[in-house]
Amino acid sequence: MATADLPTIEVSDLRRVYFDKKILGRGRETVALDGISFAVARGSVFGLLGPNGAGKTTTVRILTTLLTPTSGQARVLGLDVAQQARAIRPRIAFIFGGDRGLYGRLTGKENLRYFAALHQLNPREAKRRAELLLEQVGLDGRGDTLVEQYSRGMKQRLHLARGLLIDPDVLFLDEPTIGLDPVGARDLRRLVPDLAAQGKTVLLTTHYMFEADAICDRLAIINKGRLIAEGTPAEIKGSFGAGSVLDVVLRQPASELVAALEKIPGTEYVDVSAEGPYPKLTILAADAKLIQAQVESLVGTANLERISLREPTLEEAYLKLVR
Amino acid sequence: MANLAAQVYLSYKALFFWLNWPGVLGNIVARPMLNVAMFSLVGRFAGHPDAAQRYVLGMALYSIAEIVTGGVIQTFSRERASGTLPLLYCSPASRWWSYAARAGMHYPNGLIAFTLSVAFGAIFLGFDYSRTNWPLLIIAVLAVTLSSTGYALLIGDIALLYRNWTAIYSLSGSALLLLTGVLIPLSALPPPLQAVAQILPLTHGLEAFRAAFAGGDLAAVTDALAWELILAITYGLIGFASYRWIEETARRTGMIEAGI
Repeated sequence: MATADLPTIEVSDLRRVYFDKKILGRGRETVALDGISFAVARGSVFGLLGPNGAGKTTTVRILTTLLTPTSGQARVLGLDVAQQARAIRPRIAFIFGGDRGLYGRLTGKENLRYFAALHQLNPREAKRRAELLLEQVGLDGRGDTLVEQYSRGMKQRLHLARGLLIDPDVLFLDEPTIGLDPVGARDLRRLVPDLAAQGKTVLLTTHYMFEADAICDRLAIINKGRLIAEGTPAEIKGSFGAGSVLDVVLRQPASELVAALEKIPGTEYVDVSAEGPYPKLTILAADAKLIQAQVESLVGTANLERISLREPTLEEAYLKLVR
Repeated sequence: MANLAAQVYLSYKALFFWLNWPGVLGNIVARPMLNVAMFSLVGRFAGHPDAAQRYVLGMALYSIAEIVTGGVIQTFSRERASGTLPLLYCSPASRWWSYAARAGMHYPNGLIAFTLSVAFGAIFLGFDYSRTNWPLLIIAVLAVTLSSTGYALLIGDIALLYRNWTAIYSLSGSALLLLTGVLIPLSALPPPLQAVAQILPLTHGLEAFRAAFAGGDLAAVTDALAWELILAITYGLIGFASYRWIEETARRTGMIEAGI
């Protein structure tokens, strides 16, 4: 296999156990990753999905050399993350969501200057790139403001600029759209495929299924430390087999109906949400068309505002997999 | 070099909260001078001019350790609190430079505090520096500033591990104030504490500093100065080894932000 064909990220039977040591008595063991394997091709966008505590951030921390695996292997750019961390670090960027990871007492530009110094960038080049990136992430004109005065969304944009400052080969984005306003989130979702088109490899974790569906070339779903699905968004959605969904909008509250609907043979699950002022049931079934008449009968004509049949979304596939 | 200078200045500005005029005036100018004044007056009130002089000299030199230790501990503690350690740890930055940069701006701060304290003693408290061997005094002060920096970096590592930096600062400062001869002569300490004093910064430098004030020669305090410099290097190296150990332990245990 030519080097160019090798995956940029390779994870093989990766396991990570945390030990909660106690001075007296036995400590507690928590298995965060239980033998996951996946590979990410160069120039692609790979999404890691999973509920809180599934092991996504642990995976990212191992891949960014911040954490050593308990067993198994992880390679980034062909280099072992445990043994060759120093060679990996100049070529990767880690961008995480939230307020932390920036210096509030420095301006946006000073933050970038500081991180450029950590990466030993040429100061003149770093200044040029910082100004370009601040403009690219929508912070032009705010670079001289102290970061403690930034909104959460502005901090998130600065995180992104910081990550791109070193022109990395691989970007790890840990929930990058948390706190971003809709425009900022949309801009980021446009930027990520552009970065991949430039040959950069992007691994991102997210809770937003539509985001993963829209920008990821491939996805992996992790639950309780195990990889439970991997493939393109279409393949993951296709993991339902012939599954389909009935959306049922009601005129009256649905609480008593749910149990009865779940007993209909072929029903996978019933989810209750709202559509405007009306309760809405989302019924996932092996073949929802077959149960539509039974559902209408149980709901009753007087209570039925609207019913429609559709293909499942990625979110529904995800919910089915992690339940 | 420009990147090192950027790390020194920006880590100081980012992580140390005295970089404003009220902070500088309060902590680097006023407090050391007031400490000198207070102990000078305590000595005079007690009726011992020698004690007053001893206190003034001791407190002037102690102000270096106080400023440097407090500054470096805060810097380390706030690094952890701001959640930037993971970014430092996954960067290719030289760990030696990032470690040393944390102290870079506190070293001159210590010197400024000392100089103002000594000047305050001369102008407002009438201390006579006419016999002082100034070159020796400068060497002693630089040696103490270095050893205080090494000590501060080692104590700063503890602040990376534990949240309560004020307790660490108080304990480390009190140990120096009590045991190194700043106020109480070493001969008045119990023998075990005298032994501890030998491995603390300030003790030997203070001996050379007092000798310089009395007009003594370099030859008489060469050993004391050598010990002070050896302690500076030892504290600095142990501190750096601890800094690396904390990083490696954090990678192994996954406790980068929560402490170990």
